[in-house]
Amino acid sequence: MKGKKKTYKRKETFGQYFKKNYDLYLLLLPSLVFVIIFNIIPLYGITLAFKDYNMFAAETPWKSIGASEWVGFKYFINVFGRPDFKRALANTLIISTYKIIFNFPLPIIFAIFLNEVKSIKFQKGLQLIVYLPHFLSWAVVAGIFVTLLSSTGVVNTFLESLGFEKVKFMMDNSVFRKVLVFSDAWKEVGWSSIIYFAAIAGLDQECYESAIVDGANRFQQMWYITIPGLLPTIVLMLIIRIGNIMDAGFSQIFAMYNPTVYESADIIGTYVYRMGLGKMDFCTGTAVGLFNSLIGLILVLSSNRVAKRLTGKSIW
Amino acid sequence: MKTRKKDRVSVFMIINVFFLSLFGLITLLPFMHVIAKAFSGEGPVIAGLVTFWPKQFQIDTVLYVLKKPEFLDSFRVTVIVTIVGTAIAMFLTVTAAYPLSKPSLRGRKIFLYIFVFIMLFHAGMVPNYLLFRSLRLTNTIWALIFSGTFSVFNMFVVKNYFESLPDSVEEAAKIDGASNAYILVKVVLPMSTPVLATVTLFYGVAFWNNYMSGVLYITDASLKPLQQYLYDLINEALNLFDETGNIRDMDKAMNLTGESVRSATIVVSTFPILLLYPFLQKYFVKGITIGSVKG
Amino acid sequence: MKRLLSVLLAAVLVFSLVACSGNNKKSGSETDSSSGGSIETKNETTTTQESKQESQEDPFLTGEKPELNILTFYTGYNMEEQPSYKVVEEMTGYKVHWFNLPQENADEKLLLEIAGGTSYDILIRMSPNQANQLFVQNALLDLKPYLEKYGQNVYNAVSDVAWSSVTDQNGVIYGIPHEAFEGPKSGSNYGILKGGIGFNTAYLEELGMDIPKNLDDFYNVLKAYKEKTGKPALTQNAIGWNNYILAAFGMGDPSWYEVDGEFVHRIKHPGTVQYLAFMQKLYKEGLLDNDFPINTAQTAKEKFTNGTCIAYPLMFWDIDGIYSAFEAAGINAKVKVATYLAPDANTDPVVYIKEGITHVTCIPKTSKNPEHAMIYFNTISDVENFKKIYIGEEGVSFEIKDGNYYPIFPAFSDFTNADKFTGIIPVDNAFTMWQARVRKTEAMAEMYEQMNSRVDEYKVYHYYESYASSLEAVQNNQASLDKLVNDMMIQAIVSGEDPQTAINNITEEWYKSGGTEYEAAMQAWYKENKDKFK
Repeated sequence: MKGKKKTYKRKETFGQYFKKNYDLYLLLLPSLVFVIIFNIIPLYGITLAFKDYNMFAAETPWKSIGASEWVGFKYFINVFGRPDFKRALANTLIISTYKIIFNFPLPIIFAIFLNEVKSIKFQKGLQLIVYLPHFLSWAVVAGIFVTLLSSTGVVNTFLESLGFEKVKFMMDNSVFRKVLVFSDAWKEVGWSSIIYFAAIAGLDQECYESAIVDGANRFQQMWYITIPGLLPTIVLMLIIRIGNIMDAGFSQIFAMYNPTVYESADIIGTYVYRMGLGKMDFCTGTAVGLFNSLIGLILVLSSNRVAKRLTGKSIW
Repeated sequence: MKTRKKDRVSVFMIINVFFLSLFGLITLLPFMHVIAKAFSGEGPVIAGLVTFWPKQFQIDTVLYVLKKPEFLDSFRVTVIVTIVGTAIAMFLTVTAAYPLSKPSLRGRKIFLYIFVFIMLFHAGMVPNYLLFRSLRLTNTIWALIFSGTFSVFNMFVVKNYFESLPDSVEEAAKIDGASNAYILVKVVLPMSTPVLATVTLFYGVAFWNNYMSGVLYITDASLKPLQQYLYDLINEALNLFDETGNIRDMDKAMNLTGESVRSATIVVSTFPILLLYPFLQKYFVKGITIGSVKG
Repeated sequence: MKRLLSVLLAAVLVFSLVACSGNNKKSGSETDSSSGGSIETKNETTTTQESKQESQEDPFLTGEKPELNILTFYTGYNMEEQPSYKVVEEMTGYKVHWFNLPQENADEKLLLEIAGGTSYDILIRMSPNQANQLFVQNALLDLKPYLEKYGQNVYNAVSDVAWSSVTDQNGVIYGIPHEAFEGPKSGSNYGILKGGIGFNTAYLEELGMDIPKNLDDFYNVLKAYKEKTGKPALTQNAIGWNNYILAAFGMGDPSWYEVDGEFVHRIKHPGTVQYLAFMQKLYKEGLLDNDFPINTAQTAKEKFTNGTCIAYPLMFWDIDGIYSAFEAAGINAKVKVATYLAPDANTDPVVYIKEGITHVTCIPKTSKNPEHAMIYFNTISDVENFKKIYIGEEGVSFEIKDGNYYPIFPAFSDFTNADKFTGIIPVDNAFTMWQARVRKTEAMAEMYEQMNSRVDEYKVYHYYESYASSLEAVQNNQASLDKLVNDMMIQAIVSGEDPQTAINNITEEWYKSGGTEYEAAMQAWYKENKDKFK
């Protein structure tokens, strides 16, 4: 069904291989050049995390990066040493983890079950609708949620009519995280399911046909054909999502939070933002970014290894 | 989509369709709300009376937005950037994904590490700005095109897909003496329409939605990307008061755009990109059945 | 495949055609500032002083006028598309290419652009922080020689105090201050009140109560409303400070006050604890909308205009929107406003007028045409020119009745964004002219009139703290500290904890997060400058 990873005996030298396949390297060239120019060269600026950046230190700001003073871990300590940072770090990890556990499977489930609907028109039509929230920015969406979830909003009125007490959705630390997770799901499930639809479309029909002939019902087909077929995509998406764990959703939280829920929802991004208001502090931002990237790298590497061992699929 | 024997209508089907439709409804409603506000009079909008249907229906607001020179400039810029940028991005992505999908490629691991590295590590505002500045690209449309052009994630998606294709067809072509490039273009790509459509959609939407590039690289108002224009409009209303309870800029506050203008701008800025998906939907079907070569 | 290639090729061709047409406007370092079309120097509106200087040898005044690249702050619209653009071009003879800073990260963007060598001829309306930062980095020209030669109007327009805050100890003037004109410096105080807590007149009538003027009446009205309807009486944005209420405790808009001879921040003012206690009371009793921390500007206004709440802090220009919303909601009411509240029936209410610098215009060292830039700016700072740009011509776009300016429509609608194109003139002149904008609609004019009808009852103070905003310690700390205090005030109002303890906590946090140096800088500044302000 799928091409197995071949093991290569080094029969040819690199030179022989290159001669035969130089066009492969040629194909690779444009993206490499692009990436070197636009992604790798700017990385020189990561040194700013360890320097006191003075833009005017040399004739150009570029040279000023080199000319600025080394200060070691000053900016890291400045952020990490603050009392509220621990809370921010904890919130970042907790909220991200909640989102991964609850929101990661949803697009997959959605894609699979929508695929089960007979009517192609229904499938296509629904696909077009559910991805709409992705296109509204959080600033716009937050206003809608505030109206819905305020103490006079629709949800609370409904709860009251059922005899329950009102819930302060956006002002209660014990509830707010759930609001974040749920609203994020609502906004992104449709969009995230697109890639799974495409993957399902790419699955080999023959497997399904033979399975049906063998008498498999729809759930068995899902379990034995669809899900394994989606596995490479799922693994890729999951590894990358885990690599992004330090991004708990800055735009969302920034648009929806308020001082009464800082305790449960203040993440590193929003905390650093408030700290840096009015200051022109490139170095702190770079330091925090570097920290986030390092954690991301460690997680990506380890989850890739785990995925390889568990499922045989991995990014590389 | 799939060829299946027609199932009888079952309980599962009913429940399935019900929940799916419910989900569809709750994702549709907020959009209807924004559209309704765009076509409502200012009064009902301010009073919060508009839910899903316009009140005091009027199309003047939308027409007003469509005629604004700032909107038209930004719209034109973003359309160009999206089309050109997506084309370039797809080219870079596909040409990178194909070689990397071949396990036999010498040096494959190194390349992959490089790409993963740059996926995770970003340099930040300053170095990116400085790079574009040294390339003399600031305040040009190229700055908008080249920022965020190549997405490693998208490349992995395509690579994944290529890896899942059976080797048989390619090998047959190779035996016939075809070069790698030829195989890519004539054999692999036609089989890859679902993933190509997906990634085109991803890039198209990403370019359309990019506003940070405008903040960083542009000061010329006629080159402002559409999303930055929209974002600024929405933000103006949020940032009126400073943290001590005083108005920041009185003239700005006095001339603030109305809420219905904002809603109208959201609608006209989002509508075009929404058309991309339906257009690409038909490609979410396998182009050529891969069962054509057995063994 | 071929088709794809040809489509790509076509796209690239199309794009390059379009991009080339859009590329004419690049910031100065890419293209030489070509003298685009030699327009003769039309010095039609020069003052007599300028014509004295107009010697035949001065090429800057008589020669060809280059195109100017001007960077200014964020505007949501394209400067070159505004009606005022043509007016200014004719008036000054210069063709201008306008560039804007973004709404967010403007400071960083500005520094990057200047440090990176992008050439702008003049930077108009930078924030005092931005100008000071550039100056500290030695990126600005000393304006003194240019002002002496070409800047007479500008010299006359700015007060000495303002000049001193942009002059360093060596006499280098690094910027031209734009002074705030929120109120006249002298003379009648009419017009200084621009906002207050608006009340729904229909509800007031039903309660049989009058618009409150002091704290006790205010509380009584809110309480009566809640008791009658069970709904929250006052709604507001997610800000912990309601300056109209704060006024009843001896404060108001300013952040710094002199208390027992010391210059201190609001949180150390004795009235703040009482203010917090009062707000907590309102919150606890449900008189203050319990959702106010999650209110956006729109949701707060909604609650007022759909009839839920009786009171909402507003500015006079909100009134048209509010009336149309009332109409849509079927509410037959007008709005009466309680401006800054008095502590009680026997004490006069107090209002503070801001004096200070709102923006600074400066010329970077990388400017290619500093002389021309100064001439340009000077031309638009001539009082008659200013008037022409700002409000147009008498009888055409504005008229004067009893010394007050009134707009004439439809001509006046061309001047909506004109304020960004002007230079500067003395504050008092600017303030009177500004009032033409106030009277844009009948409702706005009426509301403004209503708010200021009681202005003579007020004790008026001027406050000057914004002159200190370019001090380094202030730049580094003010924004983040203000946010910190605001956040904690909101938390304290909601939690209802003991106000004194809450304020103590806030003060402690404030000091820990940079307040110490902020306070030290402000106190030093005050000591040095307080006599200048009398």
